[in-house]
Amino acid sequence: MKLPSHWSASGWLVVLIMATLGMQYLERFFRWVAPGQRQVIYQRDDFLSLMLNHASLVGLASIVAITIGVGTGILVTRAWGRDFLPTVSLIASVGQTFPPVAVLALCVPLLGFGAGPVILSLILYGLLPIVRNTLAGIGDVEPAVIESARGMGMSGTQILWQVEIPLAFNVILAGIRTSVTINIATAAIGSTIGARTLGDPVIAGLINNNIAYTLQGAILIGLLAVTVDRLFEVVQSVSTRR
Amino acid sequence: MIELIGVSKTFNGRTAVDAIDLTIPKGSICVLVGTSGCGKSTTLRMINRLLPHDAGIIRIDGQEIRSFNEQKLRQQIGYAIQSTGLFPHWTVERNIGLVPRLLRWPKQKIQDRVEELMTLLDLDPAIYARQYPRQLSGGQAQRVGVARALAGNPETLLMDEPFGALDPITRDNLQNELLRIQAQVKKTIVFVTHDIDEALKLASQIVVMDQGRIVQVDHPEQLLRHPANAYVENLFGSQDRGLKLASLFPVRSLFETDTPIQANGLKAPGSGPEDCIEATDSLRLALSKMLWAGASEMPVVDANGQVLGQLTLEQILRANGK
Repeated sequence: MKLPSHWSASGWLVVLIMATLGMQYLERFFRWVAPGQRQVIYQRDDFLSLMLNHASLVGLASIVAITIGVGTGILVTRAWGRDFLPTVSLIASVGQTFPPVAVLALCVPLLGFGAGPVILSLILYGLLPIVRNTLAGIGDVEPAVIESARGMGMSGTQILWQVEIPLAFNVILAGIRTSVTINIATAAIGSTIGARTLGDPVIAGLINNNIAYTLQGAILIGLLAVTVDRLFEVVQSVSTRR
Repeated sequence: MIELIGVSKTFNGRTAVDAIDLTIPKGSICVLVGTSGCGKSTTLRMINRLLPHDAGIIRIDGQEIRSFNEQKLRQQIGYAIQSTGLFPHWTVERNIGLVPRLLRWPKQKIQDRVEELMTLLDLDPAIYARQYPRQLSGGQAQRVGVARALAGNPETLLMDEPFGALDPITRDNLQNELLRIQAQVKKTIVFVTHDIDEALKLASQIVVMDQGRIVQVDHPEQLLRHPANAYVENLFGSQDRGLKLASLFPVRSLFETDTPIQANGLKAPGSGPEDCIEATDSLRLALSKMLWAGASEMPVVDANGQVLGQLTLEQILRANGK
């Protein structure tokens, strides 16, 4: 029997919370993983605050990226914005081939170290799948549907909100899902330029050759990504059922 | 009434519609025909301003269409297209209720109107109201499309090859229904098609277009009998014009003009649909039945199977000849 998606999502959420709060009590396990280390539980920060910080970096960047990304996608598909459609479409697909680390590295000379450049690069990188999918979603709406909507006397705004966005919703949401999931992983690299994220234990582990630290960070990043992905799954299945 | 006076449209320097004049009387079905790219669809789409006209005047009931708010104008003109353009994420009910909602009718009135139209178009509201367009057959979807076009109770209806994508049987059914509905609601209908038989069947007025110009405007019978030029003659099939003409007249019309033969109250003997002619059949169908049976005369029956009289080959020839 296949579990309904909201069950699986809440299951992952429970695991994520337990892992975040309980990681410090798993000393015996990590001693076994990394024998011979003086310390096996990452101590410089507690996991909860790293998790919250990581999540809020990604959350903040995603909200901005969604607003700008969906907004841009809508603007360039309006009659008066169509001139920019090819350019934006090209940037969105070419930009996607840029590795996230490179985007991050390019932000440092502009903004220095810390959370700022991380957020900026998360926004820039997160924009691309959102813009691309917004364009695809709106572009996929059958021309005959738009033609008849106009012919019936709907205004541009009514067509956008009642026809184009509902019909493109799932495709746009899939773009947001990709964007957020990628950014959860990308934010971890932010630790290298001084942002406090779940990447901290990973980097510390790599530098000190302590696999226990690396594992702790990696597990939490992985769980966060999977949980968020499952949550999107729930939203998508609800909106498809309609 | 719709009037077009010197109306032109150019796309990137290419003239699509060239200074046409046309008057479409209230309550008529005006069918625009012609080869692809002759400007018939363009003409139709200028009437509800989906395309702006570059020159000339278009008036609906005496009012230049530019004087209306664009959306308000379209809400008062029904519009049905070949691919239906139904909203896939809305139920049948909601699709049909679109224009009434735009017109801000009260909820109950919208619901009543939707049910009325579904019944009119032979779609059981109990079954179809909550279905989505993807659950419908092509013919049902087109019925919904026509119902949606009629929903706001517009005086004018624009139909752009609405039955073009349907199979011949469904198309024939829907044409009959359109005629039936038109007899009840008396809209001014502008209908675009490239199917000449459809045009002959539906039209009270046929407009033949070629290269953006109007070549001939006439009643179907006149067009067949007196085509203005070789293009019209070709379009209407110079070879089988006789048959097309015969399809214009129902058998009934002969019995109305000739001395009515007394109904003798007898059922046609051993009658299957091939052995007798129904009064509503066209002369063309009657001829076909006689050819098939190899008979030079056949009994004509009404809807109840009562024999109205005999139809002879000679009568058909006389009625159809010039």
